[in-house]
Amino acid sequence: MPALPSMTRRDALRLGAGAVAVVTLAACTTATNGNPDPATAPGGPEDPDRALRAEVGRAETTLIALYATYGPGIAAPLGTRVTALGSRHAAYRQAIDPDHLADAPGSGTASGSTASRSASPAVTPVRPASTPAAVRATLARLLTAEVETAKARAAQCARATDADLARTIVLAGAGAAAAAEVLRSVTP
Amino acid sequence: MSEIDSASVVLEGTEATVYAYGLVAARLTGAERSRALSAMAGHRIERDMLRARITMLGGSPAGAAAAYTPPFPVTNAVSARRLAALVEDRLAGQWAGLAAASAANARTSTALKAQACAVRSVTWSGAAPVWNGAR
Repeated sequence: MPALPSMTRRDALRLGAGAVAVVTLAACTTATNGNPDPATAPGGPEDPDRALRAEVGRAETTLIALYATYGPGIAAPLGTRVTALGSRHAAYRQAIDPDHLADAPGSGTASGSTASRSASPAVTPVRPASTPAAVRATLARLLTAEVETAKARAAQCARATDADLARTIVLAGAGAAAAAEVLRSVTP
Repeated sequence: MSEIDSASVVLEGTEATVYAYGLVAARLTGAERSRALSAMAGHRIERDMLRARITMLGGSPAGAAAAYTPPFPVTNAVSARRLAALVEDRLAGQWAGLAAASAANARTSTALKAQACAVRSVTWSGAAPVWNGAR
């Protein structure tokens, strides 16, 4: 009888090593697929996905900044949960744009993207969302950003030349959609 | 992995998910039971579409197993929700693999199916793994 997904010892190890999973995915996206030419390697100057990596990396940076701006304004324990959602985007950025192409000079914003380099993690934190209405507004802002991110990743994955990159972008989109659902569920 | 192979993986995962939701629904009541049955119906539709997709690609879709062994005893609502979250999470990862193996014009729609599974997983567990399918 076939087994449903089982929580085996191996799974437990995987669960206990989330960082390893991130590293593994990152490694997948940086594999050279047997091509020794560093120019065409992921992130290399002739990588056909270079612009896409930079575009997604820039968008993830913007999201990280958004969470850094608004997350600390929400009191614990909800604030802790929101901050954790924001930290996921650092993992996505690292997996998709490990060479930080988004930060490279001349990596202009690709068409259709509204991401801006001005939205850096150094954005000045806003005042704490002290009222329920302010918390709701903050969560709504983050929810909108996650929903838009999920839509964007679903479209962007179609432009990837490298299948591993496409899969990583799809997973980043799934993560954004899941984060949006979490935000919906915690909104008072 | 080829598109046929990836689609076969998703088909197998979907068959297991349909079966799992039968176990899940049996342990839930009220709105949660309805939600489980609705999800099961949705996965059945996806299963049929996957079979058609594999056939169109020139493959032969495998049939479902008669039964599947859950990874832990599903004895109450808590374990039922846990199983639902687990199968949806894994299926999201499998859909992501199929999206990557698909032609560009099919990737977006396939990616949205991964997202739907990821969202359903959250509705059962309340938590969102960073990478779906990593467990």
